[in-house]
Amino acid sequence: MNKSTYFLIIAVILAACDEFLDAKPSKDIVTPNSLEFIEDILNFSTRMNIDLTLGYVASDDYITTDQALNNYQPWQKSVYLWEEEPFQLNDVVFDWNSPYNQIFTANVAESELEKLINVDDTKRRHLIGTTAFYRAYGFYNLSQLFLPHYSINGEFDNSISIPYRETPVITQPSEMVNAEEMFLRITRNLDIALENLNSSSTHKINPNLAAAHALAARVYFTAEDYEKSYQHARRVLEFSTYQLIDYNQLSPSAANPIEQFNSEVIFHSEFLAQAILYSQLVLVNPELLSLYKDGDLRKSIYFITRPNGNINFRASYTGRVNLFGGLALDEVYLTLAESAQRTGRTNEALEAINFYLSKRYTPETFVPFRPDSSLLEKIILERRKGLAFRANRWSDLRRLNRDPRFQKTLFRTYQGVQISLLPNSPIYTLPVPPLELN
Amino acid sequence: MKKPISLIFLLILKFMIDSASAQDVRNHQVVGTIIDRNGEPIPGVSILVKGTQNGTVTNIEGVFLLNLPSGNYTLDVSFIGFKKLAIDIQVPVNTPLEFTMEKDDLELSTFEVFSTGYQELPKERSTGSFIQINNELIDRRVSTDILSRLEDVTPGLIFNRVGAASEPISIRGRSTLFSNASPLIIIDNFPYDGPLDNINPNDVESITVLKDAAAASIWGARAGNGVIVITTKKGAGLGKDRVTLNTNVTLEEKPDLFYFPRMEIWDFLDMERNLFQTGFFNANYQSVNRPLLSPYVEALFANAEGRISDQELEQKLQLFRNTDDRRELLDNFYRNAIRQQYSLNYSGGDNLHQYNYSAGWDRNLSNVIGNDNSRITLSTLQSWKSKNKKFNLSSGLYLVNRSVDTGTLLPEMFPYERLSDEVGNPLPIFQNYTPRFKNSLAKVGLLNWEFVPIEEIGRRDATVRETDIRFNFNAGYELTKGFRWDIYYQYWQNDLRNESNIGTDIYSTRNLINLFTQINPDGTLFRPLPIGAIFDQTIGKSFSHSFRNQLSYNKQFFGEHELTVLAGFELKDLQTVTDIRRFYGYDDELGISTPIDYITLFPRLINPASRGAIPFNDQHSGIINRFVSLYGNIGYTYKGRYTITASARKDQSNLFGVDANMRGVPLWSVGLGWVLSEEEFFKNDLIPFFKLRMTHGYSGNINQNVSALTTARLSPSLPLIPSLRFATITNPPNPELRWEKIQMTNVAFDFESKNRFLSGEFDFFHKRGQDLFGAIQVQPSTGVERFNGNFAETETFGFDFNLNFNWINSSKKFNWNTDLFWSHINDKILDYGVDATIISLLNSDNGIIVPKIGNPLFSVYSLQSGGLDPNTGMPRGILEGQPSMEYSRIISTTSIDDLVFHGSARPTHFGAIRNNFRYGSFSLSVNASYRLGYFFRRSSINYNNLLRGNIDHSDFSHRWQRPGDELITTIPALPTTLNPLRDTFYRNVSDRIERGDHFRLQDIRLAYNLQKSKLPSLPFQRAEIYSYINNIGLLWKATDDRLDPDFQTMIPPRSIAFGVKIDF
Repeated sequence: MNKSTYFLIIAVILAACDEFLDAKPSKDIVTPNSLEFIEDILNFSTRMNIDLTLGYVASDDYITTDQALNNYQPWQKSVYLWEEEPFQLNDVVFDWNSPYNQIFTANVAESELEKLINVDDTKRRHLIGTTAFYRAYGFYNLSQLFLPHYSINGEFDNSISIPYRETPVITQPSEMVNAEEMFLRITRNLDIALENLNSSSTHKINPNLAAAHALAARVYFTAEDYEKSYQHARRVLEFSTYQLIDYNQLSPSAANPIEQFNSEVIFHSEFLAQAILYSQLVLVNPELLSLYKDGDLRKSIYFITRPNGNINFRASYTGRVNLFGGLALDEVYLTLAESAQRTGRTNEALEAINFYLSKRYTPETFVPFRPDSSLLEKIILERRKGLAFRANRWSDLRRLNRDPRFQKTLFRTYQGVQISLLPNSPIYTLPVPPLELN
Repeated sequence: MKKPISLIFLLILKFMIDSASAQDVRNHQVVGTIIDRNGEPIPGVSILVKGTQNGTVTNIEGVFLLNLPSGNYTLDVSFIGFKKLAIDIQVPVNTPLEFTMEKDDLELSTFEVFSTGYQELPKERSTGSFIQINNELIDRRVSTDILSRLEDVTPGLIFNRVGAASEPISIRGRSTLFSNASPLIIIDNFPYDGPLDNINPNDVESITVLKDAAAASIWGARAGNGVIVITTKKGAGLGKDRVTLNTNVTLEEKPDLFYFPRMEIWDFLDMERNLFQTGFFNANYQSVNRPLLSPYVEALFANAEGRISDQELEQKLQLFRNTDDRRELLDNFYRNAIRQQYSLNYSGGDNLHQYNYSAGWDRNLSNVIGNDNSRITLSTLQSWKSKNKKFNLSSGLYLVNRSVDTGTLLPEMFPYERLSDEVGNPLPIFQNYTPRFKNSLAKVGLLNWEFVPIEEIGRRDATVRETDIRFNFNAGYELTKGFRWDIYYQYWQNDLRNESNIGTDIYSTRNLINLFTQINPDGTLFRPLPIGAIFDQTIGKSFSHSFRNQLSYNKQFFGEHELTVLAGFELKDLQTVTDIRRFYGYDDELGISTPIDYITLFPRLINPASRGAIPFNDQHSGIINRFVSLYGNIGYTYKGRYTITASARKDQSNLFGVDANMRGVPLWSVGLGWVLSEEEFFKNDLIPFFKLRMTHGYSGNINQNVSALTTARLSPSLPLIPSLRFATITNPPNPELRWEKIQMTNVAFDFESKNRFLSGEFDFFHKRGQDLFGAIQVQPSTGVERFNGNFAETETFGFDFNLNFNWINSSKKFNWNTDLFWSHINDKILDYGVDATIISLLNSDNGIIVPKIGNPLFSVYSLQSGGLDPNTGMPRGILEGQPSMEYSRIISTTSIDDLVFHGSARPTHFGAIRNNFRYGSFSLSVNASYRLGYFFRRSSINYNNLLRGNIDHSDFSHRWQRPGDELITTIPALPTTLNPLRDTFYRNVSDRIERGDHFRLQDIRLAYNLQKSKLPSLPFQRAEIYSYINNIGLLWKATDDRLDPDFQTMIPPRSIAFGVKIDF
C-alpha cells in the first residue's frame, strides 16, 4: 500500500466526520426548533402558571399565630409584619425570581419562534400571543408588589424602577422602567396577545383570547381605567364556554367542593407553592368572616371549621390546597359590575352583580341589589367577599386606598403588640431584593 | 474466531513475501530478539555494529533488524539498567538470534518502561512526568477495586475527602471548576467507558499515571485532569508456563455508629418535653397532612388528653431513656463485612505465540445483613508473531459479570425507638404518618400499615446484574525497517439490569397502596393502585467502538541519533440507552402486572384535599458521544543524552449545537530531556545518574452540559395535567462557548546515588486553567440565577518529590528501604466573572467551589468571633470593632475582605512514607500517610435543628449554662426562641475552624515467602502468605477535636485480610 492510498483513506474518513459528529449527544435534549417544542416549553405550568404570594401575606385575608410565623422564611415573616426592610442580603425572594423566570421562558419561546420558517402560521401567531400574554401577566404581578400604584388619573410615583426585559440573552442589560412605563409595556404586550391569541385553547393552563381580555380587564381595572376594564370584561362574557357555578349545586361536605379547571376558570394559575400557605394556622381573618351574611353560600363553601375551632379557607379554584390566582369568571363579573357602575352604567352593573349573586346565595335568601347611592360600596364589598384568598386583595387595597371613601387601615397583633398598616403607606411597595442590586 | 484470523495471516504472509523479494541482494538480513532473564522482550535496546556507524534499536517486541554484507561482526548491545553485551556474529545468519541481557542491579530503578497508552517508552528517553505503579505495589493492598490500589503510593494523586462524590481522586489538584473533574482512565490502549468496579486488580500488570502536558496532549481534550493508564497482564513469552493462584479473605469491623458525637437521649427527651410544653408540636399534631411526631411527643399528647396515665407516661419515658437506635441497628442490622477474593492466572507461550488466561471471583458480604455483591471476571489475551517477526497480532477478550443484592434497607427511626422487645419479638416503628391516624383506619380494611424493620431484613428482592464485555484487537506490520503500521480496535459492551420487585411483605409497597386507597361512603374500598408488588426495572445498554490507525517510525542512524515518530487518527463512537420502567400490581410467579391510571389526580388518603397522580417513573434516555482525533508525536535523542519530544493532537466531538469549526480544539506539548550524568564534566561516582527534564503544553476538558444554543429537556408528564408533556429550559443561549484549556509546565530532575542508596524524582509544576467554565450568579431579573460561560482562570503551583532510600541492603539476610513522597499543591483563582456572596463563601468548606480571586478553589472562611456573651451565653461577633449579637447586621456589613480566610479546605501538602523490611523469608511493609496545610469546620450543635425537634450534637452538654461558663466553653447557650440567624452565625464563627493536619498509620502488610529453590519438597515454585491490615488509625493530629479531620461523620472501619499467592 503506498502513501497516497493511505492519505486517500484518511481524507475519506475525515470527510465523513462532519456527519458522524452531527449526532445529538442525548435523546432528551432538544433545541426548541419546532412549534411543538415551543409549546412544550410554555406548557411547564410549574414555572408559567404562577401567582405571587407576598401580596397575600401582607393583606388582610388571614392571620396567623406567633408560633406559626417561626416557620416562615425570615422575609416572609417581615412582610407579614409590614417591616420596612423585609429582605436581607442573601434572601432568594421567590416572588421576585419566579416571575422573571416566567418572563425569561416567554422571551426564549418568542425568540425561537422568530427563527422558525415554513410553519403553520395560525399556531405560530397563537404562540406569539401566548408569549406576550405571559410577559403581561408576569410584569403586572411584579408591578403590584415592587412598583408604586399606577393610575391613569395621574397620581403616581415614578421614582422607583424595576428591570423590564424582552430578550432571552442573559448578558444583555435590562431596561429600567417606572410604574407608568411599566403600565405602557404591559398594555403593549396585552395588545399583541389580543391580536394573536386564538379564541380557544386545549388546556386551561394555556391562555386564549378570553384570558387576554380577562387579564386586560384586571390590568386596566387596577390602573383605574374603568372604561377599558368595562370593555374587556364585556368581551369575556361573549365566550359562552365559561359559566358561573351555581354554589347551590356544590356539596359543602367535600374536602374541597370546587373542582380544578371548573367552568369559571378562564386561565389556571396558582400561588407559588409554599408550605406556609397550607398550614391550618392560616386562620381566616375574623373581620372578613363577619362580612358574610346568612344564606351566603360562599361562607360554607369557602371555609371549614376544624375540630379544634380553627377556621381555614379550603375552596381554592385549583381544586386542591394550592391557592388560585388565575383568571376566573367570578372576578370578571365583579370587575364588570364595578367598572360599569363607575362609568355610569348602573343597569349593566346591576345586571352583572345580581347575576353573580344569584349563583352565590340560596334562592330563599337572595335579594337582588337595586339602584341606590351605596351601590358602588356594595359591589366593592361583594368583591371583597367573592375574591377572598385570591390574588386580587393587595392590588385592590392599593387601588381603593387612593379614594378616601374606601381607605382602610390594617391591623395585626404580634407578641401581644398591635401593629398597623396605614393607607398609602410606602410599605405598599416592597423594596427590590438586595440580591438583585448586589 | 480462528478462521478469519488465519485468513488475515495468509494475506499478510503474501504481503511479506512480496516485500521480501524486493530486498537488496548484496546484504543479508540479521534478525534478533533481546530478552531479559524472564524471557520478556526489551524494547529500546541499542544495537551498534562495532567499528561502523551502522546500528538500530529494538522495537516494542524486543526485535531488531540489521542488513549487513557477509562477514564477521561484533554487536555492542546496551541499554540502561542492563549489563552491556558484546556479541560476535557471522553473517549470513540462518536462524533468528536471541540474546539475554542481565539486569544491572546498580541501575535497576532506572529501567522502567512507561506505557502512555500509545507507546511504551523507556524512562531514560521520556521527558514527561509519569509515575509507574508496578505489579508488586498494585498487589500490596487487598481490595476488590483497582482505584484504591493507587492510594498513598502515587505522588501527586490524592483521594479527596472534600468535594463532590463524582471526583474521588485528583491528580495535581483540581484543574476545572465545574466541568468533569475525573482523570481519564485508559485500559489497554483505549479510554474505558464502563464502571471501574468491573476491573479486577489481579488482572492488572501495571499502572502509569501521567501527570503533565507531555502525556496529556497525547490524550487531548479529556486529559486535563491527568491520565491513568492501566495495562492488563500479557502472556509470559518464553519459558515455562506459569500458573498463579491468589486468594484472600478480608474481615471488616462493624461501622462505628457512635463515632459522631450525638447528644444524650435523656437530654433530647427533656428537650422534646420542653418543646411540647411551649406548644411547638400543636400545629403538626393537628395538621391535616398527619405528619409523624416522635413516640415521646405522641405519649405526651396522649397523657395530656387523658388517654394514658402519668404512670404509663413515666414508664414509657424510662424505656425511651434506655434505648438507643444506634445500638438497636448494630445489634439487628449490622455484621462484620467479609470479602473473599479468588484469582487464577495462567500464562505462557513461546517466541511466536503468547497467551494469558485469567479467572477471578470476588464475593463480598457487606456490613448490612442481607446485602452482598459479587464479581466474576474471565479474560484471555493472545498474541502472535509471524516467523520473521514483521507481523504481529494480538487479541483479547474480557468478560465481567457483577451482581449486587440489596436485600435490606436501613430503617429511618427516632433516636430512642426499639426494634424488638425484651424477649426479642420484632416491634413496629413509627413511619411516615402518625400512628393516631393509621390506627383510626385500622378497621377499614387497609393493608397492614405497620412497619416492622426486623421482619424485612434480607427480604427485599433488589438486584443489580451487570455484564461487561471488552474485545480488543491489534495488528501491526513492519513496512520497512523501523517503519510500522498498526491498527487497534476495541469493542465494548455493557448490559446493566437493575431490578427491584418489592412485594406487599415490604412496608413501602403497602404504604403506597394505602396512600392511594379511597374509602367509599358505603365503606368499600377503591384502590387505584392494585394490591401486588411494585416492580422497578432499569435496563441500560451501552456499547462503544474505538478504532485507531497509527504509523510509527523508529530509527537510529549514525549510531548516535535516534528518532521516534508516531502519527495516527482515532475514531470513537459511544452509545448508551437506558430505559427505566415500573409495573404495579406485579405478580412474579404469573409474570403479570396491572394497567394503571396515571392521568387522574386521586385524593390521598391522608388528606383528600391534596390530590396526586400515581407515580409514573418511566424514563428513557440515550446518549451518544463521538470523537474524531488526529495526533502526532515525535521524539529525538542524541547520544542517548539529549532528548526533544513534541506532541500535538486535535479532538473533535459531537458537542451539541456547536458550529463545525468550534467542535475541535488543537492541543500540543514540547519536552526536553538531558541525561547530565552522561556528560564528562558531570561524571562522578557519587551520583552515577542524573537527568533533567522539562515539558510544556496544553491539554483540554469538555463540559457536555452546556451548549451554544438554547436547549431544553423534555419530560413526559406535567404534574398538573399528567397527559401533557412539557420541556424545561436547561441552557440559555451562549454563542461564545469554548473548550476549557489547561496549560502545564513541568520541570524535574531524576537522580540516583552510588549503590542506589538514594534515588528519586523531583517534579515542579505550574498549571494554568484557561477559559474554564464558571457558573456566575447573575441578577435574578434576567430570569436565571446562574449562568455558565468561559469566565474563569485558575493557577496551580506545586511539586511532587519521590525518594527511595535503601538503608540496608544485605541481599542475604536483611533489607530495609523507605519510599517517601511529598506532594504540594498551591492553587488559586486568578479570574472569575463576579464576586461570590458572603454566605456562599462561608459555606464553601462543604465541597462546593465558591471562587474568590486569589484564594484556593476550596477555601475555609469564617466570621470573627467575639466570644460568648458573659450574661446570656449567646455567641458574639464583631461589629464596628465591638462584640455584638446583631447577627443580621454582622453578616450584612461584613465585606468579602473582612471574612477570616483560614486557608485551603483540601490538603496543600500530602504524601506517604512506606517502610519495607525483609528478613529472610519475612517481609513487612508499613505505610503511613500524611495530609497537611488545610482546615475544616468542627461539627457542633445546631439549635435551630434541635428546637425543631431533631436530635443534635453532643456539644449540647458542654454548652454555656451560667455566667462564667464563657471562660471554659465556646458552645453557646440554648436559645429561648428559634433564632436561625444565631445558628447561621455560630456555624460560621472562627472558633469552629480547626487545622486538619494529621499523620495516619494507613496500613501494614506482612508476608512470608516460600520458594521451591530453598524447599525442594514444595509442590509449587513460590508461595506468599500475607496479611494486610487497613485503616489502622491516626498517629497525630493538630486539632483537639475528637473526630478525625478527614472523617467528620463516619470513619472507615478497620479491616484485616489474610491471603496466599501461589506460583505453580
